[in-house]
Amino acid sequence: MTTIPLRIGLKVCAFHSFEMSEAAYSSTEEIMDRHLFKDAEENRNITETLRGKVREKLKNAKISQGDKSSSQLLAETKSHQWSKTEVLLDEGLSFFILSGEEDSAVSRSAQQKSVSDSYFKPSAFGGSLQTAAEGQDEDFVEEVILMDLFEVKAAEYEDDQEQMKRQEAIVFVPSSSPVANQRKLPKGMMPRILEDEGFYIKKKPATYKKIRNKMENRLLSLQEASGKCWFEESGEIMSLPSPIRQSWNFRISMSKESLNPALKTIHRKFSHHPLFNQEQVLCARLLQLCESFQDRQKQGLSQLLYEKLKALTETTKLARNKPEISQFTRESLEDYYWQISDTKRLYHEEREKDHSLLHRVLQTWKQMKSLRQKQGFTSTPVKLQFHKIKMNTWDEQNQAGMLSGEENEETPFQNEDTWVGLPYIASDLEGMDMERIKPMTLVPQLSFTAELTNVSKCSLSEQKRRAKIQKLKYFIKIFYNDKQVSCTSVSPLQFDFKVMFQQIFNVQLLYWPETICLEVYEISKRTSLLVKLYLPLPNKTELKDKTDLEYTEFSSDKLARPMDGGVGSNVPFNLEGSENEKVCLLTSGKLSYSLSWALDENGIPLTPVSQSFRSAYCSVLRNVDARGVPGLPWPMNSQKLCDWADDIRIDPNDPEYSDITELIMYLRHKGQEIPKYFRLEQLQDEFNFVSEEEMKRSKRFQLLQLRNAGQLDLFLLQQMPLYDKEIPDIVFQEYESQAQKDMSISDVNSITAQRINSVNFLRKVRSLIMKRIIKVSKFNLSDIVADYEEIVSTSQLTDVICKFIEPRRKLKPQRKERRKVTAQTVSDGDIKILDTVHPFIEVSFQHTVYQTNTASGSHPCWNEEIKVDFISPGHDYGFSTLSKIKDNIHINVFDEVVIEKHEDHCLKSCSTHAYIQKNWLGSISFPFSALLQQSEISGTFQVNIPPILLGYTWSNTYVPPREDCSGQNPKECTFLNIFATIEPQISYITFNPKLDEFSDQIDVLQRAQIFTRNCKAMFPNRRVVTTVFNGEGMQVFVTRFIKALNPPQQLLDIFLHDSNATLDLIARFVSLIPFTTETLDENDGFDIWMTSECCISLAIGNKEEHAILLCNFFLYFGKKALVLLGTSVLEGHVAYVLTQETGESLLWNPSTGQCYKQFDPFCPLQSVDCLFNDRNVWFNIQQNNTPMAVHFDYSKESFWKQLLPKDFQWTKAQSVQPEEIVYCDTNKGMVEDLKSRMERALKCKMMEWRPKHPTRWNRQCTSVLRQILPKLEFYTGSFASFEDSELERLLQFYWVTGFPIQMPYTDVQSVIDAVYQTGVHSSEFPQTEFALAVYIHPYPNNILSVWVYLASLARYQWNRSRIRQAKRLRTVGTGKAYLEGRGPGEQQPLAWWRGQLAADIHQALRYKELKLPSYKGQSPQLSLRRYFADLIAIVSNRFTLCPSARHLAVYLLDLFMDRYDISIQQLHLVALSCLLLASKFEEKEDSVPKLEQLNSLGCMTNMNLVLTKQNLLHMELLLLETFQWNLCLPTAAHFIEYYLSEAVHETDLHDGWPMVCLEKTKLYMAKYADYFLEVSLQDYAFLNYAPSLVAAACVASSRIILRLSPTWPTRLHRLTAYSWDFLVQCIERLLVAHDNDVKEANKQRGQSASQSAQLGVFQTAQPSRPVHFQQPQYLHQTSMQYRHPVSEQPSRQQLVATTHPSSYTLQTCPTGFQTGVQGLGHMQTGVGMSLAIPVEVKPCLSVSYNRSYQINEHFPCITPCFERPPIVSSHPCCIPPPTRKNKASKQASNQKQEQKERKERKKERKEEKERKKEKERPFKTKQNHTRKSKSSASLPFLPLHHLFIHPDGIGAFAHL
Amino acid sequence: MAEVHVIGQILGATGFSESSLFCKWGIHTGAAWKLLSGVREGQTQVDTPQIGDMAYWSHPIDLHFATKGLQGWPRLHLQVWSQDSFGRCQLAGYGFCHVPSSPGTHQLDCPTWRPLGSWREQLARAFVGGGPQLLHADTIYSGADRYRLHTAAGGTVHLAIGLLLRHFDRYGVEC
Repeated sequence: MTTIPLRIGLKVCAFHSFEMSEAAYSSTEEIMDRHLFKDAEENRNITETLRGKVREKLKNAKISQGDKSSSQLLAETKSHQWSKTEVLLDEGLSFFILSGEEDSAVSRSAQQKSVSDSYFKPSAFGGSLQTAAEGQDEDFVEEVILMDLFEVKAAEYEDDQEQMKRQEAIVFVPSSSPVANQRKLPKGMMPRILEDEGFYIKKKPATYKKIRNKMENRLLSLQEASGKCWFEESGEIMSLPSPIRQSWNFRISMSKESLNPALKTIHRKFSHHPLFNQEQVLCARLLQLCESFQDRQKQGLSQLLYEKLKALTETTKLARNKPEISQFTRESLEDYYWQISDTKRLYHEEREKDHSLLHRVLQTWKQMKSLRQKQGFTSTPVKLQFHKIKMNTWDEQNQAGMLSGEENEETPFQNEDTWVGLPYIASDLEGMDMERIKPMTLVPQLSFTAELTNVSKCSLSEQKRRAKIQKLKYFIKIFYNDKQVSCTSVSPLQFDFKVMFQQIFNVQLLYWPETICLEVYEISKRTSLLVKLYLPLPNKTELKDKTDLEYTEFSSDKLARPMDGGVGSNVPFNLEGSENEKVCLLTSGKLSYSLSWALDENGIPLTPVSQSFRSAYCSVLRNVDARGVPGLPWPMNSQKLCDWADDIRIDPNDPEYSDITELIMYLRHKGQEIPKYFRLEQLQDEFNFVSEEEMKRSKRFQLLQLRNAGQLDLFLLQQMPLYDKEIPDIVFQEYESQAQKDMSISDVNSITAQRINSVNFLRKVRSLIMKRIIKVSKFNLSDIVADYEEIVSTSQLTDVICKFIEPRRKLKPQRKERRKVTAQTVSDGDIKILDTVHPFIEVSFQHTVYQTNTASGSHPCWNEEIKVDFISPGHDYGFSTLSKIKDNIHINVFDEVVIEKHEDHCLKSCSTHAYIQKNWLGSISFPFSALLQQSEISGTFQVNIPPILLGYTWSNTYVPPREDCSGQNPKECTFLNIFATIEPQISYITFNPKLDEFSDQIDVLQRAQIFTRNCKAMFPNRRVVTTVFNGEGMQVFVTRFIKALNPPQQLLDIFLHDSNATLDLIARFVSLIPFTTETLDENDGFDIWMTSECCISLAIGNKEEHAILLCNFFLYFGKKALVLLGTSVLEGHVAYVLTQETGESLLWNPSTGQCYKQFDPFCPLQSVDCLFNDRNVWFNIQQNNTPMAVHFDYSKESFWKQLLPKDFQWTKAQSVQPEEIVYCDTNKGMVEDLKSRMERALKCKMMEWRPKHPTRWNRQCTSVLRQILPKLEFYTGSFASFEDSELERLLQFYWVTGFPIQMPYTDVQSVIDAVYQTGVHSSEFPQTEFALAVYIHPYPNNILSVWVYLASLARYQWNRSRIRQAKRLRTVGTGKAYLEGRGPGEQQPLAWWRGQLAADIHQALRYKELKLPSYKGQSPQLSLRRYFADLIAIVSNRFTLCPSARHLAVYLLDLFMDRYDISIQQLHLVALSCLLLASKFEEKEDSVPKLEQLNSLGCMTNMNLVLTKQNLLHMELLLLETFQWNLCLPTAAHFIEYYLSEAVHETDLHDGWPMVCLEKTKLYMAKYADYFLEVSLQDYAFLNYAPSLVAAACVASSRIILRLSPTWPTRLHRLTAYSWDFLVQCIERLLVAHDNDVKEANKQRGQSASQSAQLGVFQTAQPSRPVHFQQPQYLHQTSMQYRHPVSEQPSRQQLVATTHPSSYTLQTCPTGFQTGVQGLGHMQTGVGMSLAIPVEVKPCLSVSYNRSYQINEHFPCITPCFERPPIVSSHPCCIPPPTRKNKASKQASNQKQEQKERKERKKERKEEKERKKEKERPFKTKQNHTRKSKSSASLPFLPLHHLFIHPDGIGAFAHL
Repeated sequence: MAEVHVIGQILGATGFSESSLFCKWGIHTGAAWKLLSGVREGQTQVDTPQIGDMAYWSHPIDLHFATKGLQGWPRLHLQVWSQDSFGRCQLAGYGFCHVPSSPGTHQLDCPTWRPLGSWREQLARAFVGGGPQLLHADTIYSGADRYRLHTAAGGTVHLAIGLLLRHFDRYGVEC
């Protein structure tokens, strides 16, 4: 063993010719140790076993190395620093593994080395050792053994040497020893290893080293010159890359990593750190110096200068030697000299710098060495070597001046000194030997090979320091635009003061980054920011492929005290070796990172465009960014990456994979191969049928699991579907929504949110505590075994024993008969409300409503039984399920109000024509749980009545049965007798499982428990609570809850001097805190009470908490207050507060804030069970526990059982309540917000509840109510005072019922429910208007009092139809009426359009007209209609009935005829009855025609008609029955007046000019409108239009005729709500009718004209007609100016002149004379005028009735149907009886007319065309036209007036 | 996504020397199994047979499993305990059996064993009661470390188990 290593050493030298620079003896060991040290963390266990062996071997090797002359400086070591330790580690590892193996393995590793032999690798070293050993062994055997054997013969001995020499001469055997690089390369050239420089060199084919060496030798020896060309720069033989391509070497798809700048933080290294010891400080300095030296060398300035100098001297030399050849002039030569000297100087300077640098390096190194020696350990691996490079001829012997370490370090320095001392002067340039000038450079070579002293060997301080270093950790936060985007992992500080992060961060950017900042944090004991670094933004071209790292230096001025051998930072200290030197160093270092842009899948850099650029390409970019993939896949799953890398065996040197390899290295280094989890069934996945996800997706399974977890209410007892497809998704939706309910609080007011939150919070807390309690209370045997009875006393035992003696129980025991109870009876209502009310009761439960009959009177008695069916959730009627029902049973008292549909003329019997409205009067509600608890509720209860009931008053006459019933005004109470029970009876089980004691004061608690048990034994039905659980789940004695607490100061300030009022207010405040919806749980014994503060701050509490709070407040006032536990009839278990005044006890109900006296019969408290205050608990042991019978003197032990006896000594536990409650103000803005939200919500809901009816909101009333509401909050007296004047005014027009509701605010839904309960929305009365006002009064701590004022308004109708109910307003007692009903004759319905209510009346009419019965026009006697319409017109004119009556009569007739076939004879009767009815309906009583008058009518005789009273009455009745007694049918006549009021306005233009006389225009307008109305009456076609539309059309037509512009102004549009388009059709019809009239008139006039031989004029007048026919077309034009072609006017004017007399000559009436005169008068004036319109108008007046009866010359007298009766009355008998002949002739005439019309229409069309042509004429003519029209408009209306006045007679004429 | 319903009962036990017996039972499945409804483990009442040897529990087992693989087929593990007159419980036997893999009703007999312990322990058991018990109940069915145990035979637990399988054929499992 010993010999072999010797040779190894030798061979090593031969092979590798490397040398350790210093400490050669121990160098290898150092190396090994260093590696070992580094490896130690990871594979200590592996190394540990091998170490010993290896060391042994190596030590031996070292011995041999000792005596070997060092010769070569390995160039490879230069790269040492660069190559990362990881590489070394791996190699080292492989070495150790391999070292024990066979030669083949070793050689393989050696090959590996040779392939990539740039690294200094111990494996190569070791490997070579091995190979060397093997090879040498053979030689040894040969040499030694053979010699021994064959030494005998000496003669033939040939010297080996000689033989070899001889052989060499003949045979060339290339040696297999490796060739030195120097030989292979050109002289003076350093081998350049490209791979080290970062180039990627492809793998070369593997060759044996021996062969290669031989090859090299051969090449070199053959031809020196050409041989060298076979070598590459690196000294290797040129070779092609390996042809073998690994097929699996594919590229990873990099698409996913394409993200914006990838920041790769590689590592950071400290150049100074507070924990540096002095050696490290020096080391850092050394490193810095060396670095700067290397930098300088790289720059090669001195080299450059040297070359220059050389060249210059050579040229000058040349020039001087051969001056004749030289082209240089003298000057240039001088110039050269000068240059030489200059360069020399520069060169000198440079060298000087170099030398000084070297000097400093050396000095530092020396310092360091001395320090190392001094302190006895080394803590830095730095080692300095100097490498002397001679740049002149390269000789073999002096290959490389390797001056290593201690021995030689002085020599170069001395050399330098001598050198430097050499004077370089320009003058002796010539003498200078270039060889001498040539610098022999010394290169300091740093290596990190020094052995670090083991920790154990170091001094204590050093140990501490190292321990500290280990503790230090660093991480970096990355900020992008000042926002933290990511953070590195925490990495420890390594011993060489490096922190490795090796992480890549991807930041996806949208905008061009402004800053990228790194914050370095240090974690020692606490995290502190060390330094903040701003990184320069990467260039757009810097892409991901970029591999090189950038450095930033950083330093921090953080003060760090020197300790434990560390030098600290920012603290001056003395450096060893240079005493006078005081150094102050800052923590500083370098951070190497790489910042680059990522590429997307197409290889396009994902560099964001800069801001300005961005805006343009924003959209494009967004698309790009949108598909940006978040996050790299492989950093996420490093394991997978490693696996993948292993699978495809990626080339670690391939730059394409550099990132990945680095990462993998790092990951391996960290040892993440170990899986994080442990799996029992590794192969499970392979055998699975389905994946986990599929399992999870299965709806059936989900459902099953949910059901098992008890979270499905719906499917709890149902069969589960077998297949997934049968399961609807809704099931989950429901479940999810249920689950989400807790989460989703969106879009609500913050106060509401608080409420919801607190409810949730409380629920959670309760369930949490419940869980705890349940866990604590163990499962008892009694819980399972039903008959289990614990033996408590011996008496029980004796009983049991006695049972044996007793006779045996009967086998068939008799069943006890249970008392039968009726289901739910509401009986014997003691309702004392109003006299004439018709109250009824509605019971609603679970959204089903049951109603009693309507009783009448204020003391109704229903005595009805209402059975309320209900459904238990889950169809489980066990007690536990039922107890979860939270619904309340509401009993509402309503008043039934009947509102007539129309008139109250209508007979009383027709009740079907009424709307029933129910008005809410009050309610009682009690929770279902109360009923469940008590199994029956019976008694008289006070009805909750709103403070104000609009429309109702309290009767004064009623004397309450008891005067002293309560403090309240007894008159304002309403009581209801109720008996309610559940059928079948459900037993209420109560059991209180025994509890384990666990709490503060166990003795007291035990006592309390015994007390409770005893009490229960005595009175099992009485409640006693001694211990409860507090918010922390601790069992607490109840008395600890009682403590005087301050009420909010705001409340105290309101009634400063009225203590009682303050108490009331506080009680009210407490009552406003919302209640938890309580359910009855089986474990009722576990009460969880929160503290009062909790109750206030959460704004929620249960009954007991309320009582405690109230009690605490009362105690604050110094009252004697106790909390009383008992049961109330309506509420079940309740807690009251008992205060004791002098002589009387007051009972406060905290849930309503009401105060009852002890003897108040209506106090809902039914039993008094238990009292407690802060000192004690008393249990009521009196036999009778109703409050009235109870003695509240709890000091008497015979009445009250005390928990704690008087002499009981116990330390009173501290109260659980806080010292003081801090209140916060309620945010007013929030309250306002809530108020508006609530109002909106309520209004929406109201409208929702009335889907069939429009819901109208009365704004006026709402505003009144709004004003009232805030006053209600602090009411004291009666409410009557609140009804202010405004409301009074409102009451004049409306029948108002309303009431305010007050409630604490829990959520909006509860308010909505409360409003719904009142049933305000259910009013069917169509004209009902509603008013709703919400007011929220804020109390402190977000406790709100909500007031909702609801009112429904019914307007008294204008047409005297009244609400019968109005009378009911007169209260019986006072007799005061809010509104006096209007008697039928009190007010005139006339001229309603002038009143204030005109708009409303109009609206009502419009509303009614929508409900008019439909007219089908199906009567066979339609032809007769016209006749009867005229008849009605004549008769109504005769009796001067108003137009509306006439229209109504005609309408009634129409309707009647539409439905029935009637003989003509009868029709007369019908028509007249209609007229009578209409007149009775519309007219004054005295103007209704009398029977005699009718009979006396001339026409009657003509008709052979005798009317009898009986006939008429019968007919009237028949008619009324037909119309269902509803005669309130609006007709056009009803509207016309209203529309006429706006029909003409000053602003209207006549013919484009302002009107001359508004009054006259109005008059004409009225006339025309009347005319058109009559026209509409004559034709049943107008029945197809709504009356209002006809009226509007009449107005519009009149305006057209009157040429008023605009024809349909906006004010009329607004008034009538009809747009022009609506009217057009009707107007057309009217105008056509009008035109026909004109035609008729013309015809008549023509006839008369023929008589008067004025045909010519007539003909000239012809063209005027088309104008009217054209009107419809005009109507469609936008410009509404009705402009007659003026050119025709003169002719028309003539027409006027001619027609007038003619038309009146036809009239046979006596007034004809007068009119004739007038006509003449008019003519005289008219001739002078230039207006033509009268032409159209005038005839129509006469013709309108002439037309139909033109044959009958008597009929013209019908014309004066307009207003003035004298005309008709003067000819009472002029109406001939209409005969068939007449009608026939009329029809014939009609036919003729139609024919004529057709003809004329044809003509029209022709003329139209002509006119169009005319229009196309030049402008000039038009101007003429207008001018003419102006002149014609100068006095527009006079002729018209005359014309109109005509039929009216002289009275109208007088206007002129 | 095959499903298995295990419906049955622990009928009782015979052959135990102790008289008042009760049984703790549990069902163990592999990772592929998912309990949809039912209770995985339970305990019977104490039965003191008046007549005969057999202690009857008639304890219902009703489980519904879903599985994604056959591995880890459910197995029942049982611990029979006896309660003595002082209310102390001592172990009478451990036992385990697989839930049958074919549908239908099955009558299972599950023999039991208990750790014997040293002679000292045996002696103590004979006089005082008690005795060695398993630290981890999973040893009952896993059997990895059982080779170290010395056991004594206990009685037999009788089970009647009905099995319903569903959708196994869908995944190529015939049953």
